[in-house]
Amino acid sequence: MPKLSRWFVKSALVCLVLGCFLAALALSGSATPLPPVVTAFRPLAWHLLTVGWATQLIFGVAFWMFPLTARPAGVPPGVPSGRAADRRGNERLGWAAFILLNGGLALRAIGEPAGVLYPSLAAGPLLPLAALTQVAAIIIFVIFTWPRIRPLGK
Amino acid sequence: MPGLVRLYIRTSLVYLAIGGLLGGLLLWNKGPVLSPNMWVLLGAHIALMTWGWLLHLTLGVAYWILPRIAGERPHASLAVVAYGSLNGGLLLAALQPWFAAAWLSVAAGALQFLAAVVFTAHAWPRIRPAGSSTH
Repeated sequence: MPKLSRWFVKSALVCLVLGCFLAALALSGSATPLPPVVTAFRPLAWHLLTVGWATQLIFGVAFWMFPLTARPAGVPPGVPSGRAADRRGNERLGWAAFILLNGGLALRAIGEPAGVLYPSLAAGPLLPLAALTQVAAIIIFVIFTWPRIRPLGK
Repeated sequence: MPGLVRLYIRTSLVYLAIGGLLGGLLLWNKGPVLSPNMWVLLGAHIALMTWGWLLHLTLGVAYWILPRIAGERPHASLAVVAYGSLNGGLLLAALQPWFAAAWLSVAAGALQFLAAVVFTAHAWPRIRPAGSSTH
C-alpha cells in the first residue's frame, strides 16, 4: 500500500470518527435542545462523512488499486516496464490533492461554525478559501486519475 | 478494466467535478454572498455527489470486481440499462429546481429505482464464493 494511500485512508478514518461524533451530537437534538455551537456543526458533520470519509477513502484506494498507467512506448509485453510507483502517475499531484482536500475541510471546520456564531466573521475569506481548495483538490484528483481508468495489462 | 466499468467510473469523475464545483459555489456563498438564489443549486449538488459520484463509482467497481460466473459477467445488458436509467434519473433530478415540475421528481425517482432494481438483478447471482460453479 503506497504511502499516499495510507495517508488518505488514515485521514478518512479520522474524518469518520469526527463526523460520527458530530452527527451523534446533532441527533441528540431530538432529545434535548442544543446550543447554537452544536447546531452550527451539523453541515460540517455531513461533509466530514461524505467528503472526508467516503470521498477520501475512494481517493486513497483508487491511487492504490486502479490499473497502472500505460507501459512506456517500445517496451514489449513481458518485459518489466518500471516500478509500480512510477506508473501510478505524478505522485506530487496526489499529495497536492490530499493537502488541499484536508486543508479545505479544516478551513470549513473553522469557518462555517464561526460564521454562524459570529455573523460578522461570515463575510471573511475562510469559506471562499475552503471552497477553492476543495474544488482544486477534486479537479486535480480527476485529472490525475483519468489516465488510469483503462484496460488492465496494457 | 472492462469498457462498461470505464464508462461508469469516468462518468462518476465527471459528476464529482461538477457536483464539487456546485458545492464550492454553495460554500463560498455561505460567506460573501455571490447570489441570493444560489441555494437553488443545493438539490443538484446533493444528487450529483451521491448518485452521480458515489453511486456510479460503487456500481462500476462492483461490476468490475464481483466474482464472475464461468469467466463471464452474465446479463451485462442489465448493468447497461442501470447506467442509462441512473443517468436519466439524475439528469431529471438535477433539472428539477429550474422547472419546478412535480412530474420531473417522480420520473427521476422512478428511473433511479429502476436502476437499483436492474443492477441488483445483475449483481445478485455474482455474490458467491470466487471460483465456485454456477451457484
